Amino acid sequence: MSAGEGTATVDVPGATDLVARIAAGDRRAEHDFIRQYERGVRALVRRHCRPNDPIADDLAQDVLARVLERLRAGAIRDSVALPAYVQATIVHTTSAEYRARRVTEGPAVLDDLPASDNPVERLDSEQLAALLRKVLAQLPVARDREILVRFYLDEQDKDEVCRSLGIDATHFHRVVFRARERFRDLLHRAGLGEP
Amino acid sequence: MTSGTPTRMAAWLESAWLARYLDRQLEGEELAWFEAYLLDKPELVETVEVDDAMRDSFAGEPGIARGGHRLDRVRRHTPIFPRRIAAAATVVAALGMGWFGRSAIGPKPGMEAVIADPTRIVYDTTRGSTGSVAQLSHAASASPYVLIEVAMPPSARNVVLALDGQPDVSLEISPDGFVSFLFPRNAMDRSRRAEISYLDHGVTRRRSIEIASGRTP
Repeated sequence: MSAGEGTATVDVPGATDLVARIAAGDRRAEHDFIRQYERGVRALVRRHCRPNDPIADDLAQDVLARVLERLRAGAIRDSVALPAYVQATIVHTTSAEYRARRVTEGPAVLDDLPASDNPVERLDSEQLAALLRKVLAQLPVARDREILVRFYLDEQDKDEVCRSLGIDATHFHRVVFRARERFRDLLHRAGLGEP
Repeated sequence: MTSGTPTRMAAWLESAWLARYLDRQLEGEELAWFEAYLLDKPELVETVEVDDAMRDSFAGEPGIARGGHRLDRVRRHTPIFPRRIAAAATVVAALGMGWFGRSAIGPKPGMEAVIADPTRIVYDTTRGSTGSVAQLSHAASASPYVLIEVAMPPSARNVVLALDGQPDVSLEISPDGFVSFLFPRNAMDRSRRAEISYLDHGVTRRRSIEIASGRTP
């Protein structure tokens, strides 16, 4: 299927023809693209941003808008390469932001998108902090709490944490994995997402 | 692997990549490739969201001021792994007598007695959630065995491992709350299901693990 064939009536949501459909002006394909990638883009943008940086939402919109513009222009032809293109755009956009602290606005197509359904984003910082305190309260060993603080707050890498605290990777994985699972469980118990 | 991601990895391999990603062990092309891979996979994205939220929570929580939990003294490292290997060896001996045949178990003549860095699968979900994917490390190991560890609830007692066609084997819970056993690698490609039963406050509970897929159904 080429970009010029007019695919507005094709109802195949798979990624294979998504690129061609958007290039052909199919608005439904644009929404399929957003539905498929929005949550992942938000999560990765947030990960590439500094903690709690409120710019993350704007950057995620910016990433989606930029990719969509390129898709509309037919600049992306290989649908298999689309995820890699989206990821590269995330990296470039967040890097540029931190170089220039410059905010850009997305095009109008994003204005009518449904609100994000990311359950985590529906929590405010106080709720998240409360959940975190519960997780930490269930770690009776001070060293295990220290592992999490060093990894998540100080952003030390795993090897550095293990070396500093004299623990092996097994213990590191166990503590971090359990804390993450407990945190996920608390998010679900708070009614956010399916367990 | 820097192009697209048209196919889905096996669950255990995907889990291994995710673990490395969350541990921030991926860089360069690997990092870019895996981020591209996970972008449109909601269950992977959800785990990243949880991890992101953990990081943001730490950063935004004034009660966790840096240094607040810093240890004045850190106990000397006591390796857990060798201790668990020793315990697992007792289990593999029992396994070897039946199902897999004695020749498949234990070092062969002339073989080094030490098995370095065996593939290790950790089932670390103790709350009974379904579909939990195990953590995997040393996936490329040439070891003839895979070390399997399963987290147990603190109140668990009398843990028994049951495998198809095998006599039941009692497992001892380690001080850090895990039971473990060695599994022959050459049996990994078969769809083997193990069941671990234990007493929990007088009630017998059972957990199944699909060893080949690295899942707890």
